[in-house]
Amino acid sequence: MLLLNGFIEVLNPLVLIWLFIGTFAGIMIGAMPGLTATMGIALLVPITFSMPPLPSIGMLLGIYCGGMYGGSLTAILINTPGTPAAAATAMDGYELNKQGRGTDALKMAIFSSVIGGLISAVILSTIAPLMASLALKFGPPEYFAVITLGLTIVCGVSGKSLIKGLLIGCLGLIFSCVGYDPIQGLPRMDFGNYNLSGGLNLIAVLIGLFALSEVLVQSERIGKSRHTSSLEPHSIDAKETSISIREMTRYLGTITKGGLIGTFIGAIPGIGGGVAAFMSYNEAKRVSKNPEKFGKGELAGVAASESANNGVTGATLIPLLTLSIPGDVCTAVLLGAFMIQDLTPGPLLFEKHGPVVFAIFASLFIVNIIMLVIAWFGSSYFAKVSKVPNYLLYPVIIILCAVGTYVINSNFFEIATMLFFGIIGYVIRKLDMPIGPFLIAFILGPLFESNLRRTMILFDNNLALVYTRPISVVFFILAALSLFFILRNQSQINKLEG
Amino acid sequence: MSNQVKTMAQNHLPMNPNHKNFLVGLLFMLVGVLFLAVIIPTQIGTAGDFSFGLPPDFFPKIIGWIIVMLSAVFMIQSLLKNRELLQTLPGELQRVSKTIDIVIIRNVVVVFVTCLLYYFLLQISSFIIISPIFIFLLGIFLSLGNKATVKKRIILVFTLAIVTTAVVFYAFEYLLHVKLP
Repeated sequence: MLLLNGFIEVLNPLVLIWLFIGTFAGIMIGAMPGLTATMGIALLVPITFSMPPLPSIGMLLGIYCGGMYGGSLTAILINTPGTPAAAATAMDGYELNKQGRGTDALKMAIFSSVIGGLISAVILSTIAPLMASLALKFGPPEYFAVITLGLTIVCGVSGKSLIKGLLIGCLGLIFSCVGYDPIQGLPRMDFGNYNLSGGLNLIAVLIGLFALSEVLVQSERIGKSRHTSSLEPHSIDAKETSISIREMTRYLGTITKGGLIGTFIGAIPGIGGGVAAFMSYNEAKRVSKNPEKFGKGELAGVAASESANNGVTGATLIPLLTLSIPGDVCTAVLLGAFMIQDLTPGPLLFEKHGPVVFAIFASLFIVNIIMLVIAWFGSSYFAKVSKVPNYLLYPVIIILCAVGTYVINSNFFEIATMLFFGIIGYVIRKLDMPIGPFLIAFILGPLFESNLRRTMILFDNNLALVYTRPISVVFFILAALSLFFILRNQSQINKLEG
Repeated sequence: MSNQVKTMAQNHLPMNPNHKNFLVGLLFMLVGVLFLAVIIPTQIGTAGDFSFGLPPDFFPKIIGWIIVMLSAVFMIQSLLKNRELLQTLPGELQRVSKTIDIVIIRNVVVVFVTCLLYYFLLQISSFIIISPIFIFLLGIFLSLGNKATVKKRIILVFTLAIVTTAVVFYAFEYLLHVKLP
């Protein structure tokens, strides 16, 4: 019933317009080499300050889903995957494009993305409320265990070197300690600056880390080559006859399986779309009658990776909304947007803001439908977006970074914070280190510390007593399992990528 | 750009991964030690009642020690992969410093310094005046080396500067009711 009411709210024309804008912007951002959905959300979060919750979160979800799909455009057209997930798509998508079947690949990508996204949305709206009602019984020891599980994400987004990821995660934890101590209220690392007494602003930090640092990295290439790839997109005629929906339904089994794999993987914090796409791709290849065609231009390869890739989108919201643990870096950025709207994720979110949460679920369904319409008719035009010269793009991004951080508190200090973290992000990238662990640790650090210290007070400084709480034990076991799967999957991905 | 610099840029080779990892470990070791020895003792309040629970510096100290230990492991790992690393490190640093790509450094420094200038000027002037100038100057700099004609680039960047400033100003001030400087 709540979901039905949610659909009624989302079908309000004003909300639909924002969903459309978000999805459109997401596809455009995803289609530009070097730009990602995470960066798009980080840049556009500030414009949601004065918007009502549903249009703002809906618009950002549109960017999230659209950006995921948009990444496949460059993967298929110019063999430039922006994410590990899109790398799986490029393996067959680009081959199809070279064979003159780029339109088929693009249409298959959107069809399977949407089906994957819808499967994920259905499971999100079914599982999340159940998990939230369970989470209502949690006290500090249970939260401590849950956040320990969440911190395994740091390993999940560490890339090829786990130690580098952990080091960057620790750096994020250091910065998360700035501001008043969460239990005794004593100042920590504010260097006498009252702007730091309340801690570093999440939005300023993430805009600096993801948007400004990206511009600095990309600006290195100015004057050397125009784009990350010198390959020109294969020109696709919008009127070119291509694969029909009926033909695509032949791949429905692969797509459904991919969507389910994506949803399952996405619900486990930290693993993310890359692993899901490769797992789904491998599964499709394993059961195929023609496995030798994979990697040489097989539509089932595109279908498998894209459905899993977008199957992750709804599933990553399950731990975010119910336990306040972001499932991946993109949802970590979304967490900031929820907080701005006073919708602090966690089990109480469903009690306090049930109708809004279900409307957000409904918006995820609608976003996928909007994405289908936009991409079906416009994918060949979106491909042209990748030709926008960088010298026009970067000054605008920097202006949006500056304005976006200024409007958080109408304070210039936030711009300084953004610039500082822009440089930190740039140095991290230049050292071949991942940025994701920094953000995850920065978000989860204060929650981890406050719940650890509350638990210690509760158990009279004897942490071993945490094992007397069955739910905590379950989450510690899950954390160990999550760590095991993350490490195993990382080694598999590393092998696949050579 | 002189021919010598051009040649250097063309010869630019990335640093050996083991050397790079060793330096990353060293950098983080310094961060960890600085954090434990200087920042925690001077920047964390201690005037509370800590008879129950954990003191405010407990968690930061744990992180500091983890950083020190991880960076030590990372450095040792790099050394084990390349046992002559310490002997070859000075030579590697010399080689890298000789082939540093001036274009890369120039671009990053110019973009960041322009951002800093924008930040300072925004505090003494207004968004609507400073922003188009910033976009125009940065756009022209970033377009250096682009194949388009100078006239075309100037027209494009000028139009972008005006349109972006107007759209952002209108969107924030009138649609979102957020005051800009």
